[in-house]
Amino acid sequence: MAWRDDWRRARAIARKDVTTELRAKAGFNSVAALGVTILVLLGLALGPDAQALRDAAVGAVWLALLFSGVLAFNRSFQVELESGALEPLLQYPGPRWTIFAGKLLGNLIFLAMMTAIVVAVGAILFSVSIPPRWPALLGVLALGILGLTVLGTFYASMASRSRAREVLLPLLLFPMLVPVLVAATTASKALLGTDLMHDAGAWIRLLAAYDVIFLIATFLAFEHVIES
Amino acid sequence: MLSRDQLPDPGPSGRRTGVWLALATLVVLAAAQAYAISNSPAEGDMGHLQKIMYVHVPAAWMTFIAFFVVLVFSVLYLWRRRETDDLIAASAAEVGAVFNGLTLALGMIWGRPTWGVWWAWDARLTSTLVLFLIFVGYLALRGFVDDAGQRARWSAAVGIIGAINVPIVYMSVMWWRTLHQQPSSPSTLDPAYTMGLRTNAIAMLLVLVFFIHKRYDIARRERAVELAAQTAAMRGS
Amino acid sequence: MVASNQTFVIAAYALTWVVLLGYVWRLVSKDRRARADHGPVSGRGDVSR
Repeated sequence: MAWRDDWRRARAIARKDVTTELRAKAGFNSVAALGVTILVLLGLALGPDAQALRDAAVGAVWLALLFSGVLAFNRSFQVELESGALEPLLQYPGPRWTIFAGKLLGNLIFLAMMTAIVVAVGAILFSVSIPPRWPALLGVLALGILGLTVLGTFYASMASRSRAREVLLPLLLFPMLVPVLVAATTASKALLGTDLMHDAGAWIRLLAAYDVIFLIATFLAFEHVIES
Repeated sequence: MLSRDQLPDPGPSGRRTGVWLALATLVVLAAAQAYAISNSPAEGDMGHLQKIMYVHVPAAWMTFIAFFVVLVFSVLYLWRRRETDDLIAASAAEVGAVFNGLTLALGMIWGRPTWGVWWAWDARLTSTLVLFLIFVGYLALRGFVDDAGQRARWSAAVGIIGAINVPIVYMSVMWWRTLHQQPSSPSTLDPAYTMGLRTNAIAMLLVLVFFIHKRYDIARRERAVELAAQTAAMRGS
Repeated sequence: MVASNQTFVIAAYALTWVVLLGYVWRLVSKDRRARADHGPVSGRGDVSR
C-alpha cells in the first residue's frame, strides 16, 4: 500500500540520519556538550545567588536547547549537501513529504536525547527539585521540543542551502519560536510552583495547537521548498 | 521572465509625474497631521502626548497591511508562479519593515514619558518587535539566496508561515502579560480622536501604496538587470 | 511636565518625517542606479528569457 511505502521511506531516511549521527559520535556529543556549556555560561552570568538561579532555571534550559538545537538542525541537512546526495534523493520516486518526515523524525530523536541531558544538567546546576507534577512538565517539554524541531527542520532545509546558514537559521527560526518559548517557560514555571499566577493547562493547549498548526503548514510548504 | 523590452522607460515626463505623485501623497499626509493636531483637545493627564497616536497608530496599521500584502502575494506566487507576484511581496516586505521600525520607535517615544521607561515588554510593542524580526528574516533570506526561483519560492514559504505565526505571537505575549501589571498602550477608543486618526490612516495608506508601487517598479528593473547579467555570464563564459 | 511632553511629540513627528523622506531618498537612489544598470531601452530584439 502506498501509504505504508511512504512511511517506510520516511523511516529509512530517519534511520540513516540517526545512525550516521550516532556512528559519528562527534556529532551528538559535541552538540550536547555545547548545550551544557551554554547552561554553565548562563549560570555564571545570572548567578551566584541560589534563588536567582532557581528563578532563571526554566529560561536557561530552554535557551540552551534553542541554541544547541539550531546546530543540530543545520547538520541534519549537511550530510546530503556535502556528499551531493540531495539530488538523487529527490529523483527517487515518491512524495516529497517523506523526506521532510524522515528528517523530522531523525531530528526529534536527536533533540530528545539532547533534552534529556540538558534538563538533567540544568536541574542540577540551577538547583531545581523534581516537582510533584513532573509528568505534566515532561509533556510541556515534549510539546515544546516538537514545535522547535518541526520549524527548525523546515527552516534548516532552506538555510542550510543558502549562503549564510549559521546566521540565517537562527534569524529565521527564533522569532517564530516566540510562542513556544513563552508557553513552555510559563507553563514550566507554573508546574514547578515558581509562578502560581498562570494556569499551565491553557499554555499546554496553546503549545499543542501551535504544534498541530505548524506541523500541517510545514508539510504543505515543504513541497515548494525542496525542489532545487 | 522579465526582459528589457518589458520595462518601458516612462520617459522624462513620466518620471516627473512620479515625482509629483510622491510630493502629493506627502503633502496630503502633512495636511492630515496638521488637521488632527489642531483639532484634538489636550487630554488631562497625558497632556499632548496623545498626539503621537496620530503617527504611531497609522504606522502600526500600515505595518500590518503591508504584511498582509506579503502574505497574499506569497500565496499567489506559490499558486501561479508568476515572478511579478514575488517582486510585489518582496517590495511590500521592505516597505513593511520600514513602517514596522517606525512604529516601534514611535511606540518607545510615546512610552518613555508615559511609563517612565523606553521599553516595558507590553503585549503590543513586543509582538510588533517580533513581527519586525520576522520581516528582517524574510529580507535577509532574500539577500542570501542567489537563485531567483529558489529565492522566490523560499520567501513565499517563509512569508506565509511567518504570517500564520503573527496572531499566535500576539496571543501568547498578551497572555504572558495579562496577570502582571500591564502597561497600557495608546487607546484608540475615544471618539474625539477618531476623525483625526481615520484621516491620518487614509493619508498614510496613500504613502504606503505609493512606496510599494515605486519599490516594485525598481524591483522589476533590478530583476531584469540580474537576469541580463546571468544570461550574459552563461553565454560569455 | 507639559513642556517636556511637547518635546516627545515634536520628536515623534520629526522622526516620522525623517524616516518617510529618508525612504523616499532611498527609493530615488535605487531607481537611479537601476535605470543606469539597466541601460537605455532601445527596442533591441534582445529578449533574455
